[in-house]
Amino acid sequence: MTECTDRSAALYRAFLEGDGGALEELVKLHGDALTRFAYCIVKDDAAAEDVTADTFAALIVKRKKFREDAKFRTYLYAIARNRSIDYLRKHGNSRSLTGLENVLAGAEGDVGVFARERNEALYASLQRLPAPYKEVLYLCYFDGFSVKQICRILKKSVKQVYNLLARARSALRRILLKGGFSHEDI
Amino acid sequence: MKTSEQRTEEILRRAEAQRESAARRSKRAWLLSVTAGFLILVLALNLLLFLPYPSGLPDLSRYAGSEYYGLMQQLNALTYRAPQYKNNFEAWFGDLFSGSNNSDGMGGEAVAPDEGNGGSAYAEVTDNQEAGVIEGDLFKRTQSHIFYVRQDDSNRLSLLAYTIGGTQSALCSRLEIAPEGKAYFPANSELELYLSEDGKTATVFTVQWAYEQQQRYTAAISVDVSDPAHMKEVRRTYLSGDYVTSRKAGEDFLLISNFAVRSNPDFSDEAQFLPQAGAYGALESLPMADIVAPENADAARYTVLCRLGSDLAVKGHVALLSFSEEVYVSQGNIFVTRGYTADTSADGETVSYTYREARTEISCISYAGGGLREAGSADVPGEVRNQYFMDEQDGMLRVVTSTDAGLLEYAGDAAALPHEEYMKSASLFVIDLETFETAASLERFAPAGESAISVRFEEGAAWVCTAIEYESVFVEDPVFHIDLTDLANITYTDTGTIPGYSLSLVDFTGGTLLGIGRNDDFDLKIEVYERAPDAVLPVASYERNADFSEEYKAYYIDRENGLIGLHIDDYEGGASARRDCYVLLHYDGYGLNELLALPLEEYYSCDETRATIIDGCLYVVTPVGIYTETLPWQGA
Repeated sequence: MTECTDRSAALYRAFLEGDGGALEELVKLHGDALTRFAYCIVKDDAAAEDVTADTFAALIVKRKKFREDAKFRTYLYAIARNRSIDYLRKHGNSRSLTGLENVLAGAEGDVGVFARERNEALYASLQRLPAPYKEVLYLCYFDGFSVKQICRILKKSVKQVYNLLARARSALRRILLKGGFSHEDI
Repeated sequence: MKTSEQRTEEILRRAEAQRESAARRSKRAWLLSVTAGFLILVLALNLLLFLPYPSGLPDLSRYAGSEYYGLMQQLNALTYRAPQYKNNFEAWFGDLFSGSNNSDGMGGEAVAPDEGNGGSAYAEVTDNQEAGVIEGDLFKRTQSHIFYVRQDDSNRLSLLAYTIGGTQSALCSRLEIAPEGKAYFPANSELELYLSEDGKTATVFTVQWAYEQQQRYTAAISVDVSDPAHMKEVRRTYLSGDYVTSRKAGEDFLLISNFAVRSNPDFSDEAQFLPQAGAYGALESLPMADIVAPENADAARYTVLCRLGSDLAVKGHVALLSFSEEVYVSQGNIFVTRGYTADTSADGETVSYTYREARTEISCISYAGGGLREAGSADVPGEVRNQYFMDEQDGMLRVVTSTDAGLLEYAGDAAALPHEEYMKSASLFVIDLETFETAASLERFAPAGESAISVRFEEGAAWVCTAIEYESVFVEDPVFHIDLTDLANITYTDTGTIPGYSLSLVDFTGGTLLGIGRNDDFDLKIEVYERAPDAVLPVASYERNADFSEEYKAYYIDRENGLIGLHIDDYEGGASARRDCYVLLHYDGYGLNELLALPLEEYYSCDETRATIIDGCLYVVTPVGIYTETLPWQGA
C-alpha cells in the first residue's frame, strides 16, 4: 500500500504541475475503492459515483500540497467521507442497498480487492452493518489503512477506533455465520 | 461503474463547476462579511456612544451583613453623584470646546552627613497655647542641636540638624525623607516636627498622596536623631486623610486628619470609605464602635482623631462623620470645630424674613485616661477663626466667635427688618463641659459690623481684637479685655477705636498684651497694651513699612526678657529696595526698641523662618540655612 501511496502523491504533484494524464492515473488507482467506501455510507451506486467524482473535483479545486505522501490517501478518504455524509444529509439515510452488483464489479473489471469471490461476499455482508461499522471495517480490511490513518479519516481517537473495530468485527461475524460462512472460514 | 476516462471527464467538469461555485460563494461571503462588519461596527459604536451610564443609588444590599452597613448607606447617599452625562456621546462631544489638564511630580535624593556629636535633652522652642500640650513646629531643639524640617521646591522633605555653637553653628547633617510606596508629598504640605523628651527621636507629621489609590494619608515619621550626624528613619504610621494638626501630650501624639470620601466609592474597598490607621500596606479600618455618624450628617467627610504612642503604635482612634476646621487641645480634651449655616425665619406683623446665619459645632473628644472618647458637642452662633479662639478652664470651654448673617428673603416693610440683630459682631460663650450647654455668654460685645480677628485667653480673662473688614482689609482695632472671673457678671473694657488691627494677641511680659498686626497702611504694627481700671491702653508701638508672616509660630516671643522677633520683608527703602531681615525688638516698659535687624540674604517665605536665643546668641533658621548673631544686649 505504501508504494501505491507514494505513487498517488507523486501523481497528484504531477497533476498540480500540469500533467493532465496524471489525474486519470489517480482515478484508476483510487476510483473503485473510493466508490466502494462511499457506497458503504450512501448505499447507492450512482450516489457513490457522484461522491467519488466530487471528491476528486474538490482535490483539484483545493490544490492542497502534501509534504508526506501517506497523508494524500487519508485526505482523499476524509473528503469522500464528508461528501458522503453531506449526501445523506441532503437525501436522507433510509434507503436500501441499490446497485451493489455495479459497485462490486468495479470500473476496472476484476482488478482490485474484489477479485476473489470470498471478498465480494464479505463486502456484501458488510453493507448490512450500521454505517460506522461499515466505514471502519472497509477502511481497515479492504483499503488497508492503519488505525492512525483511520483515526484521521473518521476524526476519532485510537481507542474509539479500536472499540469500533471490535464491535464491527463481532457484528460482521454474526452476519457471516448466518449467511452460511463457517467458523473456520471466518 | 464508469470507466476511468469517463470518471476523469466527469471530475474535470465538476471541478470547473465547483470552482465557479466557490468563486460565487467567496464573493457572497466577502459581501456578507463586509456588510456584517459594517453592521457590527455601527452596533458597537451605538453601544459605545449611547449605552446609558448607570444612574441611581448603587445597591449595597450585598453588604447587609457588615457592621458598617448603616454607615455605608449613609455614605452612599452622601457621596452618590449622578453621572454628569447620560452616555459617552454626551461625555465626549457635549463639551467639545472646553477641557483641562493637571499633573504633579515627586522626587528625592539625599546628601551626605557632615559631623556632629551626641544629642541631649529637649528644650522647648514653640510658644504653646496650652501648658503641657506641645505643638508641632518646623523646628525643635536639644541642648546641642537645632532640628528643622522643610520641603524644597521639588517637594522633597528633609530633616536638617544644625549644631548649636554660637557663630560657629553649621549644618551637621541632612536626612531626606522619601515617600513610601507609589506616592509623593504634595506641594506646600503641612509639615510639623516634634522631639522626644530625651531629644533622641524626632517625629515628623505630613501628608502623603498615594496616587494609585487616589487617597491622601497623614504620615507620622519617626527618626532616630540620637546621633544627629547620622539620623535615620525608624518607622512610619499612616492615618487616612489630610493632615490637620497634632499635639504631644505626655509621651503620646494626638493626630487629627480630615478624610473625605470620594463620590461613588467602591464599597468593596474599605480604604475608600472607612478611615484607616496603621503601617503602610497594613492599614486597618476603624471599627464601627469608633465611628460617630450622626443621622443628620450632611457631608461624607470624617474628622479622624488618632492617639499614637511615642513608638507610633496606634493606641486609640475616633472618627466623627463631620469635617473639622479648627482644633484646640486642652490638657484633657480635643475640641474640633465645624462651621455651617442655618436659616432663621420669622413672620412678624409688618415683615416676614429669613436670615442665613453662620454657626459652629464644637465637638469634644476626651483623651484623658489613655484612649479617645467622644465626650459631647456644643453649638454656638458665629465662626471660630483659629485655635486661640477657644480655651478650657475649670470644666468650661470659653469660645469667641464672629457672628454674621445675611438676609435671604423678606416680605413686607423693609424698615422693620431686625438688621441690628444680624449685623456682624463678636460674641463670647462659656460652655459647661458636663452638659455642653451655654453656661454664660457675652453676646455682640463688638461694635456692629466688626469681626473678631484675634483672641488670647488668660486664666480669668480674654483679650479680643475686633476690626471692621472693608474690601477684605481690616481697618480698625479696638482691643477688648473681658473679665471672666465672675461668669454671672461678665464685664469688659476696651481701647476704643484705634487704627489698624492685631492678627495675633500674645500675653506678654508683666501682665501686658502684645498685638502683632497691621496699621491702617497695611504695614507691620506691633503694639503693647496694658489694662487700666476702665480701659485698655496702648502703651508702646512699633511700625515699619514691611510685610511679615501672619503665622503665630513664626514669631519669637520671650516674655521673660520682653523680646519679640520676626522675619520681615522690609520696604523702608521703597518697594524696589526690598530686603529680607530678621528684626528683634525689646520692650523695656516704655517703648518697643529694635535690638537688631539681621539681614537674610536669600529670598523666601517669612512663614518658614524660625528663631530662638541660646546663651545670648540669636539663631535664625530658614529653609536655606542658619544665621547666628551674638546679641548686643546682656538681658538675653
